[in-house]
Amino acid sequence: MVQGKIKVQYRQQKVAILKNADEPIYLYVPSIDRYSTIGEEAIIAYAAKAANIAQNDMRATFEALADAFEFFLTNGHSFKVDGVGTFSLSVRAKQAKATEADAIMGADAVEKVGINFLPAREIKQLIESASIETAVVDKRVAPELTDLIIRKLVCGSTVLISNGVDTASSCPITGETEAKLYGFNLPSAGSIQCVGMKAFGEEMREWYALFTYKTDKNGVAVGRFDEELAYLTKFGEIELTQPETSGVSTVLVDGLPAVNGNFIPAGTSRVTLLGSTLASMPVLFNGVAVTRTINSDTKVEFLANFNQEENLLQCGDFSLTFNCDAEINSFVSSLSANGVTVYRRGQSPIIKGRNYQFVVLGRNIKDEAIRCDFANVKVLSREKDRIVFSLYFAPDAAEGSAGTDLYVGSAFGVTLNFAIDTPLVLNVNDAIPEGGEIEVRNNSELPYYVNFAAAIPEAQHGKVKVNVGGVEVPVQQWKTDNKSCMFVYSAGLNTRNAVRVTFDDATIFNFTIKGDRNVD
Amino acid sequence: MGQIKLKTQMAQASVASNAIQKGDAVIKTRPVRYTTIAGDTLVARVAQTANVKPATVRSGIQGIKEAVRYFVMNGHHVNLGRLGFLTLHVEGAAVAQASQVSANLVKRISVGYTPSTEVKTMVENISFE
Repeated sequence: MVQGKIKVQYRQQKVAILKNADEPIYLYVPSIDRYSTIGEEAIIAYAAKAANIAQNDMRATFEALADAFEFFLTNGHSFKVDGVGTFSLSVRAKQAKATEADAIMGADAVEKVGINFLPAREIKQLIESASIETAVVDKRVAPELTDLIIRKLVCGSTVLISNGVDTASSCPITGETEAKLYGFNLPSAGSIQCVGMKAFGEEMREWYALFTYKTDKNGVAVGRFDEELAYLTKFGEIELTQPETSGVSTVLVDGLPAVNGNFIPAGTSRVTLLGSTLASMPVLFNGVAVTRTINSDTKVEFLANFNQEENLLQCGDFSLTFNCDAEINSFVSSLSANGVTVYRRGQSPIIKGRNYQFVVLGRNIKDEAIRCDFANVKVLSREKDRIVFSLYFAPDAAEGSAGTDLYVGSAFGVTLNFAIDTPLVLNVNDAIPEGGEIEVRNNSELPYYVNFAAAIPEAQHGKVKVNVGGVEVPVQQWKTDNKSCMFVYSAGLNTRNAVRVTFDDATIFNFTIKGDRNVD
Repeated sequence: MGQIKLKTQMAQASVASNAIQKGDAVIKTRPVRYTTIAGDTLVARVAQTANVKPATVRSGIQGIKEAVRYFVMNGHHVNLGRLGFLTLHVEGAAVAQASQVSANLVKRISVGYTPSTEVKTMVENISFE
């Protein structure tokens, strides 16, 4: 729910100097109390969380939207983003009297081209329904809130102000001042610990904590479950100098203990360094040079194996971010919080003797972490953030104590579980012409059940012969309608075979074949 | 980069300018406007470009909408990357005394759009036919 309170500042401004006036005129002029510019990455992070989709997908969507925006606008279309607004091209052109013989027309008449934006109705309604809060700011002075973001924090991060990471190298603070820590949806004051805290509370846009900053060994620790961004902003009488753009900094990655147990770096996690001189600076982790996976002037990624002791990271001017991998530890049995989702196609209930296919979206899901006590698991494909696997529920399989639960574990041994209630069933109905045959391909090494349908009297069921790839296979079961039977086709991966159904060793039937999966 | 088609048509002048009075018959040049790209058309296009599922795009657009609403309504300047910036604007009466300031002076609050550098460059490079 978006809060609806807009802050309007009335600043005293010099609005005009009249002729013969001895002094300029100052009036209080309204302006929006603007806090900061929310960057593209923050928007993507927030939107991905709001939509419950992977951040990479969100980023791809965002980029593709921008591409579409450029393409369609430059081809004469308007561009509407639902809930945000409509963009359209505006052209200002010279107009001439209809009687002018040499009127300028066409492209030569174009004077200015721009983009119009019409906000969506929802946003207009939101603004109309918002309450307005006014504040008076005397004189035209520098903003009280410098909006200087010292560092973006990830959940449970610790800022060691005194070690120079976030202050000495990026924006040194000297003396004693007040600082303000704020973030989105920070849950409780108890998760913020800092020296000299004076006050904390909650207002429309932020959770905030006011504290007095001193250059000692104490720091600010923020404990969070989630991948919320937190910003440390300082204001008041602060001496600022330009950030250093070179030199070596050292980070105590987890130099302080976890706060409230929310963030415990453990196992292998991906570390991202953002900075300006990274390419020329060595990156050391616990004193050992790290292998960079992405290497540019401004970004380095590498894997680091965290433990509960001090982890030293050393490189050039940078900020440090973790991705969420290490935090999966905090989300045992939770599918929604860490972005892992499971979906299944089809609507049929579980039927033993069939194959089901699942797609799991998530990070670092190992093949062996997918297991099911009462069914065989076969990983069909895996990509960076997507893994497809199938389960075969044998007719005689005994269900585990967890009923129909299937377990998917992450790289960190976390067990996530979900119930199989809508498994995948692929039904293929291929009518075979008289005298014809059908080719089937088994994409897995699992048995493949084929249903054969034809109107055959019960007394003659024994005369039906099924031949797959030149080998006769027994009919396993006749259905009660006397028109269909089931046989098992089992072959190796990607094996193609022709199925021939004959009656009384002579006749090839018109028949329909229904496969439980993977029939080409 | 696409081409914008222009059309020239007779119209009545809506505003006066040099030697033209309001209501005069004038020749105006306007861009030819095609459809508004939105909804499923946009989703399909974005899904294809981004190589993600349409459902993901729909969710993503919903997420962007939530993000824009949240940040704009909380007084932030929102950077939409290559698309540009969204921010709140306020119109209201100026007063001489601080004691006269009140919420009633605010006449209108609106969402303003500022094109990004990329969009400005794109607009500058548009050709007309």
